[in-house]
Amino acid sequence: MIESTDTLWNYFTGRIATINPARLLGGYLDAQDWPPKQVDFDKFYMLVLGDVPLDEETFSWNVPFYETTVQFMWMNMGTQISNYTNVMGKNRGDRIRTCYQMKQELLQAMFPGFTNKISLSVDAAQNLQTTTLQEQIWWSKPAFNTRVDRESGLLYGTATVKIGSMAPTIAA
Amino acid sequence: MALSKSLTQPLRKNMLFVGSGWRGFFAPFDYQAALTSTTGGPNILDLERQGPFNTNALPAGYSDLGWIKNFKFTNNTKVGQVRSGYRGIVRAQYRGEVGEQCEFQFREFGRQQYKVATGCQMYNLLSSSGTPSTTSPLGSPGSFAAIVMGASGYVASGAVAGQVGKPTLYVPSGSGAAFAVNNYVVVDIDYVAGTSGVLGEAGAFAYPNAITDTDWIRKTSDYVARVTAIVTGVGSPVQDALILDQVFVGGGSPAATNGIPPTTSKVQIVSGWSARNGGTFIQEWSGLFISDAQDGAQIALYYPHLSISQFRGMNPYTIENIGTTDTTGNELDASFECLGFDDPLDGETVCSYMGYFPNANNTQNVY
Repeated sequence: MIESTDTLWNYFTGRIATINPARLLGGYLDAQDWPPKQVDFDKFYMLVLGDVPLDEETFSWNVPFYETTVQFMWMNMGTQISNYTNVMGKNRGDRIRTCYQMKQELLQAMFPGFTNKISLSVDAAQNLQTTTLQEQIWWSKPAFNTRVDRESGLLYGTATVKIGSMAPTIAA
Repeated sequence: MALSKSLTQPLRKNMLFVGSGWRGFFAPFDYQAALTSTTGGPNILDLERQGPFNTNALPAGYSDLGWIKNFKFTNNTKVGQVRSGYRGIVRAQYRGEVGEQCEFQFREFGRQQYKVATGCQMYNLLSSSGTPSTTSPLGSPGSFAAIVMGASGYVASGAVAGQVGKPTLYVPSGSGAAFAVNNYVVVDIDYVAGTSGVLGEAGAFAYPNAITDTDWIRKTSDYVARVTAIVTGVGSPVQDALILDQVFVGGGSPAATNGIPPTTSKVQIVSGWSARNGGTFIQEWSGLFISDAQDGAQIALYYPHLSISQFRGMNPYTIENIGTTDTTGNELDASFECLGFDDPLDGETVCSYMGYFPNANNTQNVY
């Protein structure tokens, strides 16, 4: 089942590498592992929230259809202005602009809502192997949300995406 | 023994057809050819050599009429039965009436969508600033005399510096000043007094001695586009060039001149379009509807001869969460009748072709 999250993260990072190569990418983790020891600003993380089966219209016990909910997560601090001789503006007042830039990058990276599924494995020499499977995953439109932590002045951005995917075939 | 398949419903993952709906493409029907032949008229697509179809590079004559919603086709072919014997059991079946209908809504709103959806004789509303006509809502001539097309005519993929590859319409040197960027223009020939029947590149129908308006063919012409730039003093002989936003679509009657205005064409500015409900004429088309699966497979529905069955009007649809008042979009809702075509392959009379093209790269059977 992990192929669906592997595929989405692999696809997302590949697209971001073209859209904004300078964007930092933190990897993906279970939502209950959040936050990691160190959280960097202006960096995409992907949290996996859970998996639910699709309805009877599409579910087969032999090839179970599941919907996996993931949440992209980032934090924006804004630009620290230390030199008011040359820079005019409110200190860290541009965090909403950075946040919207990241939303736009994410939306662009999610295009067109589907891709070929891949399977990741490690060979005997400990090299990562990527196998392209003859099936797709597809995902929902990202739903964005933001929250401000008033104590720290940090802006938290999230984008919730639901992945539709077929789990590996159960032979017996 | 393994569990029964009906209990576990195994499926081949690579044989699901998962896509995002349909898209519609239309080509003009050649009325001239259809007058003399039951096989002439359609813009024929070769499913074997042209399929699967590339929606980004359409077959000649076909234009993309954009996003369509709720595409549905209904097979109206009837199967009759021959009953015999004491019990009246069915002994044989035969194919009776042959027919098919399709319906959908155009989400995009433009001249061709308007024309296809209404099925009416469309009229280009020529830009006119004179005294309004008191005899016909469409009876006024254009505000300036039609300008003869330049010596270089119309080029679908032009070569004007800075505008290379864009559709280009040449007008005589100095005439470019009569136009402005964002004007819509129509390019076609004058109506010749006394002519009747199927006239012009768009195949509009004229009764004998019914028409006196010199601009009539330009009023019914499909060769309309928006001017995006005007470049003066180009080419040889020196002319002005109107750069257009898109190639001309439509035309096609006769098919040989599909998309290309005749050399004697003239140019006028258009302010809008009118679909006049009523009249005699019903627009006809060749239609191609495509649904692509995410894995690269394609279903193509091809209707050689398609015509309006019912224009259901402009349906509103809600645009969520915009503004504080009700905000609605409007889509053109229509259903179409698939007319007969005598397939020269075997002489059978048919009305539609459904092509399925599996994903060519799908080599792995995962079941």
